[in-house]
Amino acid sequence: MTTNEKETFCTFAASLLAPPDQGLLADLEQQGLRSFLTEGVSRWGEKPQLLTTLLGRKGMKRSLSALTKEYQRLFGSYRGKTVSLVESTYKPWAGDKKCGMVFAASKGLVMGDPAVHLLDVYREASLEVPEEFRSTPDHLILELEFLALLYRDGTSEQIQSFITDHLDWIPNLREELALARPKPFYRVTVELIDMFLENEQKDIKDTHGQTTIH
Amino acid sequence: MDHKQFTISRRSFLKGTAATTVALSMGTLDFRRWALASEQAPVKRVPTLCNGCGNRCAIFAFVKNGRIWRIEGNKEANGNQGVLCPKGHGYLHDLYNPNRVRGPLKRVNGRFEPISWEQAYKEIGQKINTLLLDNSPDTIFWVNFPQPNHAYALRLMHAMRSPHYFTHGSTCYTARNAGWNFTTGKLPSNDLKNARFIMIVGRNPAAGIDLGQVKDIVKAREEGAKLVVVDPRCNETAILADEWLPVKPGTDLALLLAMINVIVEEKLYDADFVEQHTVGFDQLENEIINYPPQWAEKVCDIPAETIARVARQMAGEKPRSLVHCGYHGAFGSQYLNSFQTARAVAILNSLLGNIDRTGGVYFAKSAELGELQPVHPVPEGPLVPKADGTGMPGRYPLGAYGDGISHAIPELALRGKLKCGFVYHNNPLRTNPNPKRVIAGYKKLELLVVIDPFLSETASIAHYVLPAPFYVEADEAVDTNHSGKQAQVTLPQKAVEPVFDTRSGFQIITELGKAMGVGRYFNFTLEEANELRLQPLGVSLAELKAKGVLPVGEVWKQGCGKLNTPSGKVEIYSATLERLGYPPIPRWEAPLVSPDEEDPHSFRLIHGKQANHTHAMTANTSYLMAISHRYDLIRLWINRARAEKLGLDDGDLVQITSLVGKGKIRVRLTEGLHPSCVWLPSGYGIFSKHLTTAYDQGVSYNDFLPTRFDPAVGHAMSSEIIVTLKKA
Repeated sequence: MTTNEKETFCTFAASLLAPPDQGLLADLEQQGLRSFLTEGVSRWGEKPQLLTTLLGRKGMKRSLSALTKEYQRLFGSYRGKTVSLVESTYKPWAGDKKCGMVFAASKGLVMGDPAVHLLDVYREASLEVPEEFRSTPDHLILELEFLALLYRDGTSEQIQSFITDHLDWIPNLREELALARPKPFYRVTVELIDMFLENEQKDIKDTHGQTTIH
Repeated sequence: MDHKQFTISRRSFLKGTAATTVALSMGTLDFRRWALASEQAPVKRVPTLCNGCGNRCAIFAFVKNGRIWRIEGNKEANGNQGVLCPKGHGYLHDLYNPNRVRGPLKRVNGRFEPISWEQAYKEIGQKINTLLLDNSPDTIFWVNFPQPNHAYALRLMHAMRSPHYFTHGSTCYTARNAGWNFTTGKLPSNDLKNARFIMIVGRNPAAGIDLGQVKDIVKAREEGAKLVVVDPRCNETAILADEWLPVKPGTDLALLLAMINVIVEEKLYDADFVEQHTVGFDQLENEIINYPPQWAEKVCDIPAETIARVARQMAGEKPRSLVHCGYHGAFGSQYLNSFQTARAVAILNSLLGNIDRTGGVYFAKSAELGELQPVHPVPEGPLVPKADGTGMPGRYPLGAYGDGISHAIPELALRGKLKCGFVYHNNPLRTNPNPKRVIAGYKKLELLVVIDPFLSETASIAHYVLPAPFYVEADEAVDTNHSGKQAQVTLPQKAVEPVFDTRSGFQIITELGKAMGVGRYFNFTLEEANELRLQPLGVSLAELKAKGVLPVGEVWKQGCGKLNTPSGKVEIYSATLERLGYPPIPRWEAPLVSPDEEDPHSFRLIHGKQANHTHAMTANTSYLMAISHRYDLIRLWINRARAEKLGLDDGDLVQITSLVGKGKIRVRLTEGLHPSCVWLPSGYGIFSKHLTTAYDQGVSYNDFLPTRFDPAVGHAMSSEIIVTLKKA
């Protein structure tokens, strides 16, 4: 993938994780998108059939209400235990050994170190965190959007650093999601993101941190 | 890949006018380098109050990089003297819990949907206006657990001309308060630190939890004081005691009457104090002869010689000798005889001559906060008295009008007397007796607004949920909850920015007032209101903000003066009670119900707190629940001998059944419990599926408790439950 394509993938992946709307359904019907993803998946060594549930005929006929219901069930905020799309919840809350809170090493909380870090990063990059993400600046949607910006304007070193530091938790997300028995749409969405990042990380390892991600 | 042949319609969430990552330094972007640098960030100290229980201990919140970093107890506060309990440390975990209510919610077709604050207020105001077209203002109510904004909640109800402001008191302490009020005019405090002899009946400050009292008890014990704990269970305070008296539950009154008998018969009382400061000693002498220790032994299962010995020890140390004034346990709201039990405690103390004496019980100094008027008008107030009958002859004349009878709300709702409710910092569906009945009542309301950080059981059935902040996220009203030998004022302050879209309790109340058409009574800011309330006390808001707790007024001096009773004295004999048709002198009164002694499966169900939980409020805190699991705390205590007769082993699952409920729980076999009862820790039995940590963990005593009202005070009589136990 070129950096432009990677930017596009991240932007698209972020849109898949937002609350679904008619615009998303319309996007998924585009032939160009199908070609783009099929090619990407093949390059990652996966079978394009994986995309059937995301883009196939069944997918085309999916109703917004059903998708919304599934989204709320999996990721909604007010229905008990849901699957978290927030990095902090997968990591210890605070790494500073001087933190005196009894839950410093606990997982499952928001506004952990990754969130505080990203607030500083966004601030320096003159990016505004929207109100709905005030407590979750490390939400996967924002992280993918930020990664897209890095592919657009950043350096390889920045991209490598961001993926290594902030997108290393996606395998944990896959496990959490599997426990919730998701319908294929969101399972495939997270699998695609994981595949993309896995390939990016492989490149990072292959080059021992050299700046050859492109 | 040709990515130009398709578009992505959704706009990005991240936005910036000149967003660029080009200028982003690796020092910021690299997490490890950032983490090292952020460790050097300054730490800010903010004095505020804990909210892990009703004590609201004074704390210092330390903040680093915008997050809570550590907390410490504030040594200046009377109530906690610098100490914090597990809840103080653990409950803050929920500040960052992703399952908090993140913004206002509205119920639509049985499901919650996000709604803006302004729209929520608008709709609530409209619904109330519609409701008032056909109903009187007294169909509106407010109920809350202790919180600093109570004066404004009361103001809101009075502005609406409703009398219906309730606290949780009828399920907690109203019998105790009434007993003291009718005897000494006011509930005193315990000068534990200076006592030479302490007897605690039912109260368990080591788990209850009152850190200042625990500290004072330890100090007194170090100075040689004797401590006797009277409780059916060998509780956490009994561990500190010289002697544990395993009284039969519901019979504390018999034990106290027998101790009074010994002290009167053997003339061990403080004759001067009795002469100068009490009325009705002669009538007491006549009545108390009915209750010798030999009689009490048969009733309360404490040997007569023990009763007499402890009474003599107690009297031997007078006046630096006290019977703890009590709280919830034994006579707060537990039994039909709780009011008379509290009266007996008060009378026993007065016989020791310890009222307002060092080492006895004393009337704490409490700050009299200023009023908002004349700067701001006073609401005209309610047109009718409370529908629950508190303070009314013929109904519940001994009840506390200010508290009301909050567990009557479901009954009043079912009868159509209440139609619209505001529940703030309270969860009656879980903390009131007989949840099926409570659910039915609250569901009958035409409008239920719950102000809570979580989707509690009550919030789960609300029409609107307004997200309350966690206590370190908001500035609130000045309060006086740390009274003692010198009055103190306290201030809950914001230490960190709100994690979610929440507003302070004060803000919600005043904004509701405006939405409900009574904004003219809420035209002030918190800052202005706090300043007005502090004005008579001679301290500034700036000073209070800096310290969190400030002493005000005179320091207490010993010496019993005129009391706030009709006679101005301790009313051993109460003419008021006689006029109202109640025994003017405490006399033995059996509990309302008792287990069937012939049935090995029959037990009284009693309950109490564990140090790591406050009712249902903290159960969902994973850190505190982990303590419960680590020490296997979610078990029903049962006397080992009784359990063995039922073929039960430690850890067995049992089925509990009462008139109104049933449930299953594992048992803990112990010698530390009276054989006639089983003991259940409170705070468990969460049934809101939104509270994922606590859901379906254990059971609550309320599941088994019928809806009852003490005929004089109206309290819930929460230990008047007989259950049958069977191996599940």
